[in-house]
Amino acid sequence: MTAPAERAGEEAGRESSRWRSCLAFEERGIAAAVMLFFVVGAASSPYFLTIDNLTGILQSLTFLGFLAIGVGLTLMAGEIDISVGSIFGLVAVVTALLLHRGAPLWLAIAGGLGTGVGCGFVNGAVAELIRVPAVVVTLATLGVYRALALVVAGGSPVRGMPPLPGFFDAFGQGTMGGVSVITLLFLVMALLAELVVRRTAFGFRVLAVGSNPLAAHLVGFRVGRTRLLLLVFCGFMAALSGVCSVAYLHTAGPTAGTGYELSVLAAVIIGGVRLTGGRGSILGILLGLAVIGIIQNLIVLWGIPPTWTQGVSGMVLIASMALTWLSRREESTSADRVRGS
Amino acid sequence: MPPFDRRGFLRSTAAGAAAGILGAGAPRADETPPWVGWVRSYMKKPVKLAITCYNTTAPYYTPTRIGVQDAGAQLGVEVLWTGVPDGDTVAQIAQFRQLVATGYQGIAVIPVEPDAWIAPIKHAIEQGIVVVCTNSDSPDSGRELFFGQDLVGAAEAQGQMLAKLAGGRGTVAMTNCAPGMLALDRRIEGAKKGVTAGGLEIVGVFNTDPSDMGSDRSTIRDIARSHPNLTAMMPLCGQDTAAAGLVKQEMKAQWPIVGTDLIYQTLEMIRDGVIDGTVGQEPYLQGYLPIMHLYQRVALNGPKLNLPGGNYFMADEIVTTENVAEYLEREKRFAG
Repeated sequence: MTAPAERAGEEAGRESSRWRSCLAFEERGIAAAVMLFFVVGAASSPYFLTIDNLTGILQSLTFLGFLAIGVGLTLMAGEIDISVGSIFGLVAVVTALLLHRGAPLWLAIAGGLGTGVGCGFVNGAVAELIRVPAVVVTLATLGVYRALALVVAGGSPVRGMPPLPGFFDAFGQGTMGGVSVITLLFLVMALLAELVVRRTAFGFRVLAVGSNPLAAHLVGFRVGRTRLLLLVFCGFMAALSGVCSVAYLHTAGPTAGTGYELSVLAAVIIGGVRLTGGRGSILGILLGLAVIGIIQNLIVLWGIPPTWTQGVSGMVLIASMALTWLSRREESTSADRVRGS
Repeated sequence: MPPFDRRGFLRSTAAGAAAGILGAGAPRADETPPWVGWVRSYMKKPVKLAITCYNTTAPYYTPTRIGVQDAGAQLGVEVLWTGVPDGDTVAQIAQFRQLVATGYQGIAVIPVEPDAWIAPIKHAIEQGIVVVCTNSDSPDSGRELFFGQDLVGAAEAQGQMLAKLAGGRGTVAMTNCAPGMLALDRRIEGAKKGVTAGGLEIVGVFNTDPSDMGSDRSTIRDIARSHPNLTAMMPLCGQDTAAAGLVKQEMKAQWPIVGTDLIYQTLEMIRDGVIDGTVGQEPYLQGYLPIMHLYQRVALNGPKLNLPGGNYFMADEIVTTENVAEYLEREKRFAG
């Protein structure tokens, strides 16, 4: 290659990287899908772009969103936690029961969060101890935690709770600038998680462990401890979601969160986190969640019968993944072209 | 033969799918009754009504959905039947809030966790939306009316009928397909009163999974095997009643069954003498009447109905071998 051609290649590379860093994430395909659904939504319903509707979409994603942050980070390190829905239900029941029996608010919240952290620790410790992937362990604990929720709640939702303390009630029902306070907490947690992934040594370690655990081990990263920490964090996020759901619903059902693991995994994978680990971002996960939220919203706005909703959701999700795949292919073709020149 | 154009095929498939999806949202050019234009002339916007159900796939709600559709068609208004298939209250409430935000003027709710609905329904009412509950109630939410059965009274009558068939002594097992649902709690309360007054001893109220007939049958079979001296079976959900009938046939058991709801399979087993009776709660009207009421309130400025406790109770329909033929004819439309 001649010197000017090299310079041109470097220039093109810099241009491409500037563009990428301007977007600040790799998941252009999913961003395109979100924009497409936005345009379709705005064109097909006069209600789509109203503030109430948009904040409603955000609200509908909040509880799944907490779970998605935990599951997403864990998946970036190459592990999958599928017990999050059950932890969510168990924590909600524990928190509601403590409040129902007159425990002070701080104790109920601490009890709930502690339960979630404990569940996450059990997942991580068992996976580490018997050297099996977390997906296998959490497949088992998914049932165990659900059964615990049913036993603790006596098989039915916790009802007839005393009026929630003012702060907790305002937290669950209140809004700031039209956005629910719980949603704002979720967005803050997402921002913190994104900063951890992008800007800290721990974030680098997470991606390194997910990308190549052996290499990560050889350069001195404690692979097992990193994964344990992430599973505990995953439990914590599920617990945070469960506690928030009590503030929001004023009740808790032992079957709450059933099936959430699949919706969460869908959002995380659509958001660009690789199933094998080593790649992904919280921003991508937020976009994945946004796709799911907008689809569910459009299904209501368009009046699609419930018998079709799961099928339509599935088809649109496939379309979103196809856009992501096309974007990646385009990216790798451009990179090849730059290298070739 | 022209070569297969993969790109062209994919393009046209994608375009077709997009058109199909968009078409689903487009208004249909149905024939509209004359009063629709009259109502629009003073309302300035179309009447939008919706009903949200916590378990859209349960067979019990088939007549309810058809009742909703019939009411909408008769009135010439858009009525959206929506909800969640799995009892996910968080998702159902999120969807309800979307209905509130997108111009629905009247909404009927079939809730599963009554307390969870207090804040969302109150919020909707503050926005000027008329909200009623149907089939299952959330009485502290401020909903305008509840369309459903006097569940305590109906289940009490059901219990007494069963106790009489069992000879006034022995043990009875009950099933509950929706633990925590207020409707089921009330039904259990009435059932316990009825069978106890009739002289039966309750061995337990067992939870079942109505979304899966196989699991439902297994649970009832296990109940029967673990209580060999059972003298009566009292399923408190529609699907459970049919499942109990199948288990009774399979085990060649002799215990009488007086169950719940008018699922077609149940009616057939009453005709065949397997199930002794069932108590219906007019699920068709639980869809039809709320929509008619909402229309009157929203479009015709009709007054609030001042009923005790805000309850619009349906009649108890007690079906036995004597009158099952009439119900088999009536319910054929919902048999699937």
